Amino acid sequence: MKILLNILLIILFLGYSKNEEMISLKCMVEITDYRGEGAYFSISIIDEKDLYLKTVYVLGNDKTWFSEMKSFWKHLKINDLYLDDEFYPLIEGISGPTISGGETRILQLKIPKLLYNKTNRLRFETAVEDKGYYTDDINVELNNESLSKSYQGNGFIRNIKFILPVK
Amino acid sequence: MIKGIWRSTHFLLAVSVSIFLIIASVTGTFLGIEAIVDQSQKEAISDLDKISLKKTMDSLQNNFLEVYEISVTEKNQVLVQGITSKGFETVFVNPNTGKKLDIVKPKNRLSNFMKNLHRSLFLKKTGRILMGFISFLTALLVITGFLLLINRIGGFNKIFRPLKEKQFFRKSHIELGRLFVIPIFFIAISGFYLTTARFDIFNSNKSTHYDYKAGEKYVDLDKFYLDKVKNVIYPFSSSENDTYKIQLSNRTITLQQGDNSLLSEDIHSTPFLIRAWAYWIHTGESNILIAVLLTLTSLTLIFFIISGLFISSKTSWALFKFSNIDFNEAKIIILYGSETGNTFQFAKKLLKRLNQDGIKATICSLNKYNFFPKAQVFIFMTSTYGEGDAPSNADQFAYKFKKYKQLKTIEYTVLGFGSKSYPKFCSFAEDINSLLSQEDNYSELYPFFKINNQDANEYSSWEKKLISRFNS
Repeated sequence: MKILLNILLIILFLGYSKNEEMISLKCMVEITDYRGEGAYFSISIIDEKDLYLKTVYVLGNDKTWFSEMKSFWKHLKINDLYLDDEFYPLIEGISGPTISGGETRILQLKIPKLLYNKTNRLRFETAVEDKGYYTDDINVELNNESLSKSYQGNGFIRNIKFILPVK
Repeated sequence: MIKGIWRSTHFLLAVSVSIFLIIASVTGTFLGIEAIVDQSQKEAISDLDKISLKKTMDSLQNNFLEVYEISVTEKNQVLVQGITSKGFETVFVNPNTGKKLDIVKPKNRLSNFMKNLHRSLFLKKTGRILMGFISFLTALLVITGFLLLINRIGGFNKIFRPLKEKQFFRKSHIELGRLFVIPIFFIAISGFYLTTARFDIFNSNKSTHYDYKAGEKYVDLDKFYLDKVKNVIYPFSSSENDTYKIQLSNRTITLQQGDNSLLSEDIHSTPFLIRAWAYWIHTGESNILIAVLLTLTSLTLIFFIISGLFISSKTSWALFKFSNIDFNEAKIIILYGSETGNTFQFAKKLLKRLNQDGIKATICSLNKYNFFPKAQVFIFMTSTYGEGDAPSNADQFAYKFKKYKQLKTIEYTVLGFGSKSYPKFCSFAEDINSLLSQEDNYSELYPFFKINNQDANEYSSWEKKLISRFNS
């Protein structure tokens, strides 16, 4: 009976995730003119209680430094997402080439429609090896009104702006 | 004397860096091969210097609904991020046609492992500092090695002369040394510079900024070739405030969309350019010839450590561990000069033989020449270094010989070791022989004799005749 229930749950979950509707957000990130190695980035959707709901984008080319993004790292650890074999492909799957001081990158962020225009927030965590770490380099509300403005970052991000989803 | 300092410095440096150098060269070999393989893939474009940026941008327009960014990677690939009919994609393209070549695959895990080990031994910052320091020491190692090499060959102008060395490890150590001295030096120095750049030691500005008015200056994208382009960020939106941002190898420019009028220019500073150059040299990622050279050099480094180990175990070890000396009692003193330890082996052999016969003998390097109160016989056994110089443990003999005068009359004999392929065959032994023949209280026990290429038969017959003198 329990197994059956589990199977049912899995089927439900798979069905749900397949049909999970995504919206695309175009986003431009400008990095400050620091010197040194490439930046480590994680962009996540968090709720009002700062709980991680979804990882949207991760950037960084050396696994050893991911732990510098302390809050994000804790989330991965607590939720057992950091399994050596699965974590890395996951990270790479949604990442692009690294970005260093003075550079600009245009990203496309996929956001589940269910999480958009609610009370959730979009958090940009950044770290550059041991040069510094910012939990909330950018932390903005995830809704149409707030994303129509541009923002200055608190750390390695100089400036950020969005183009709202059309649909 | 100075040569002795170079030699011991070279030896000490080599010992202290060898473990790290082994790690660096083994991983370096892997990364070098990887760079070669990557550059032979279809994604790597060989004629970037013939393709203009305009042509690429035009061809992309036909294949992408919207382009976000073009990057030309260190490995000569052209990477485009943008929207196609399949949605957002990050793909390698052919810059001539704008067609997709391949999607970006996750990096090989082994490659990440090797790179990390190579750069920081998995020790993050500490590891980086350590490897930077090792690079620095390696550069010093190359310099001391080069000075020894010049000394060995007999002058800078003779550097390309064929060698007369017979022993495999010594010969190849020197032979490869002169071939690879420049590549190794550049690898070490560039590795060191990359570390210093990482820690911002020279704390310098990244660039100098210039602003232009719209319409003041126009840029022709047909004149920019992809080998000089790092990346192009397309305007974020059609708003006038959003511009093209193009990173070139020596500067970053922003262009107004529509008419390509130059808005600003950031000229990179010299340290920034040196870093780019150091990266280019150290990784060989954008030049297959450099990648091949780097791989060969890494392999050579591994060989250097092994051959160096063999040479030093034969030389230094043998020279250091032996110290039996009771100078005050000995009647026969064997005075030896040895560079490689071979002559020392013969000297020990003779000592053993004399001790067997119950003769009070001792052994002493020429540099330790001293006042020997009970000495009756001096047996000199010495090789010659390079162009007729003293071996490193004999170069102070002439001075010490004048300083310490013996009380009684001494009988002496000189045995020279060397190779007939050198023009100055046994010339240091000859020097000693003529020095002694001019002294009043020295008389020849047995005539001067030379041994070619450590010939064991020649030595045995010499030893037999010498011993018979003692017994008569």
